[in-house]
Amino acid sequence: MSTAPAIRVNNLYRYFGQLKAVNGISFEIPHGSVCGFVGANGAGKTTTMRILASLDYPTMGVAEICGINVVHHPEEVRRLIGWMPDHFGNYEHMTVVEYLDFYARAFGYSGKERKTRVQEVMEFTDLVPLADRFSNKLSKGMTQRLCLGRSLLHDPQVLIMDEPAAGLDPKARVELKHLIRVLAQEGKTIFISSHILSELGEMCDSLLFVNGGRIVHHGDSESLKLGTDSNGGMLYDVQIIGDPQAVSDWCVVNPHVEFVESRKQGGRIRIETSEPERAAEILARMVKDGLKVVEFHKEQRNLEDAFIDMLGRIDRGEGAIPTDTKPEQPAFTPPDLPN
Amino acid sequence: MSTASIPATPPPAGSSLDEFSDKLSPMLVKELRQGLRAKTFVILFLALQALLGVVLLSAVGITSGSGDSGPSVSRVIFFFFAFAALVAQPLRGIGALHNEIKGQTIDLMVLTRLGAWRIVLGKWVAIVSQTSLLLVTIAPYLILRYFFGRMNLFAELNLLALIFLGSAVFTAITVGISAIPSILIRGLLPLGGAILIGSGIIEMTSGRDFEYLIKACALKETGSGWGLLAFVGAGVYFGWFALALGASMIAPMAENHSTVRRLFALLAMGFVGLVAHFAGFQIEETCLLLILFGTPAVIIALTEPFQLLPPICRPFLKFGTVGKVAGRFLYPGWPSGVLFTGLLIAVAGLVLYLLPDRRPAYGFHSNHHEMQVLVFSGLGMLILSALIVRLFVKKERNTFGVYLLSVVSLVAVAVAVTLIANETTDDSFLWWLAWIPTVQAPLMDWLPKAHWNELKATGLDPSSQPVNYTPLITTGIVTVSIYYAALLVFALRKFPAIRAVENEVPTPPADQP
Repeated sequence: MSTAPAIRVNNLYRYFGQLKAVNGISFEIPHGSVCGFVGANGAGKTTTMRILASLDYPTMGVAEICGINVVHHPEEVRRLIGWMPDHFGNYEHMTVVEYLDFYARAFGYSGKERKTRVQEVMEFTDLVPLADRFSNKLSKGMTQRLCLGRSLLHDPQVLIMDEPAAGLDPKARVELKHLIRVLAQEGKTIFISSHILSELGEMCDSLLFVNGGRIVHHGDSESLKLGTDSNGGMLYDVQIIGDPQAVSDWCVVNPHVEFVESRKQGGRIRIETSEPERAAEILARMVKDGLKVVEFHKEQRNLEDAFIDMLGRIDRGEGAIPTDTKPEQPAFTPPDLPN
Repeated sequence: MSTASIPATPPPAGSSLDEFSDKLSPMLVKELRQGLRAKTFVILFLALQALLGVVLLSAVGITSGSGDSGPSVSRVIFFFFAFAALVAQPLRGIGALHNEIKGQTIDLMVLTRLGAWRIVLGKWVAIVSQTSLLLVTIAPYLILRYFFGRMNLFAELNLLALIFLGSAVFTAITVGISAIPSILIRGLLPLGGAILIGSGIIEMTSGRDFEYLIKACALKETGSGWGLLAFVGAGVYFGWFALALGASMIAPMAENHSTVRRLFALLAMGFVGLVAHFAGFQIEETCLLLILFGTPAVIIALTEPFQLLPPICRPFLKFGTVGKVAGRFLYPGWPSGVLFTGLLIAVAGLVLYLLPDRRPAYGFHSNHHEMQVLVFSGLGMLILSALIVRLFVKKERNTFGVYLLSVVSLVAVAVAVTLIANETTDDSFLWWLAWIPTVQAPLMDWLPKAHWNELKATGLDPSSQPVNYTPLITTGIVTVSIYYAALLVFALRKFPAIRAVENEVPTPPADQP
């Protein structure tokens, strides 16, 4: 295996006319890790992924898979990657086994090797019972498994998955998550985009947040969950005996505390600072004021909160959370695309 | 849900071919699997068998082998087969590539070892294979037809082969253009063509036309062999060209299909010159063939999107300055397409210049001038349309559609101007519109009329002096030159971008070839 990272992107730009779909992003993903790619619709996720899959080309910048430039050597890159798009059509009059058989042939397998490989992939993705079903009659979950199977046929080192969980029911989502976990254990590098952040947090070693074509965060999910909000505050879960309304009433008359949302036995409050002394002080004051507190603990933010908070911070012009990677070159304005 | 891990079986470099299907292209295997199950094919196949069976059994019953009904039976067989092969089967190609593009399955396929060309070829071969299946299944009816008498075996087999070739060419065209995003071009063009061909089949298989057709297919007339060769050559050229167009439209940007297509077009010019020389074609016939072979190449070269990537430049740059110069003519994209158009015109001109003038002694001198006017008018139309596209179209994906719309509009203007000229007594206003290339054609008709009136007014015999076409031909040359120069300016403005891409190509280490 080469010493180069599995995926390396440096100062990547992709413009569509005036639209800056990707606006100078840089990141690296080491071999064998699972990286989640998060962003709102139109943030530039699919464009970046398509460039990495050699299906699109950058206006400027470098994109490499295992040290191979996707623009200069697309054929080599295609042998290394498995691509799972967010949407694709299935063929009429073609069964699941025929579908995989076709792609196995297209990847260069023949004879017994082809049959063995198709069987292996069908077993892995649990498609054996569906082998003779027409591929266009499958449910969304089955279709995604079929697509994953197809992308695994040539044993790629890097899997690029664009919204693989979109439109899946909870059961299919759990199945897909399981498959991704197994693949990660086998050492495959997985670059996955999704809107379901909680699931990404469970699966991924690192998360890349992209907004407006720029990376706004690159790090693990725990650092995001434990971090303070954009104003430096912390969330706490407070549960009391008695009327839960008492918590919100208490917050109204006390400074430095804000009531966020009510819960069955109390509510979620925000303390303006992350200092533990201040939290202890507030807890003591609550007890002193007669609230029968039975639970008071720091609450981790979920990833959705962190993401929304981060976007809010950017909207207010306060800058993003610093990323883990630093671009090798300063950002620059690329020239107009030839048209 | 399986908990087993997936064993890694990487694709073999070159494994044994255990099955017959391993010897075929994966694309062909897939398309045959799908195509043979498709309702359209199954219905067509069964309907053809049923109709031919019923017709032949009826014929047997009616004539009881009297020996006079043979040609009628042939007519029926050819009618149904021609309809199936020339109309129904090619129409199945309309959605061939479009369905893959719409379903985003093209992306999945190009990431395998299948190139765009193999995808398109697989689609085409699959439909042609199904047509050949239809051809094979009508063999028993042809054998049966033999017993009805009066069979010109060679001619009828020749006709059958020509229908099959025609079907393959039309299928190539529908498959090739099925990658075009515009439904107007992708759908209406083949449908219009199918209506025309359908009417032609009805015309040819009814009345005495069928007998003439069989006679022509017997190849007993002088020059019919050359005619057949020209037909086959044109069929192969247009079929290949259409498939190459389809392949270039679905190919990833790093694949270059334009260079081969342009080289093929240049070679075709030479091929036409050779055939014209050995077959003794007149200059007008040669010119017509050159236009026929050159026009698709020019249209595609002038409308190709300009998306140049370093891997495309790399093979050219291996040849240093020569490669760079060649790239300016052969790189994909319209800027090099403009230079290529100039080169193609120059090569066609050279072919015409080198051909010996075989115009008969009784000659139609005006024909020669008319041909020149029509050539410049047509050329002007193609180049002006490209200029209109560059002036008004911002989105690359719309260029082909707008180009065709522009061509149609220019023709419509010429038709409208002709109609107006026919209704007025003084139609000298046509000269004011001569800058529109297509108007130069109605002007050509107007010139003899004006010449006649002018000389008659001065009391001279109009037939004593020839019509002077020089001003019109000069106008044609000037307008074509101006439009081409303007287009060249647009193209040259893109050349720095080409240079920038060339500079991006990494220099190979000294130890690598």
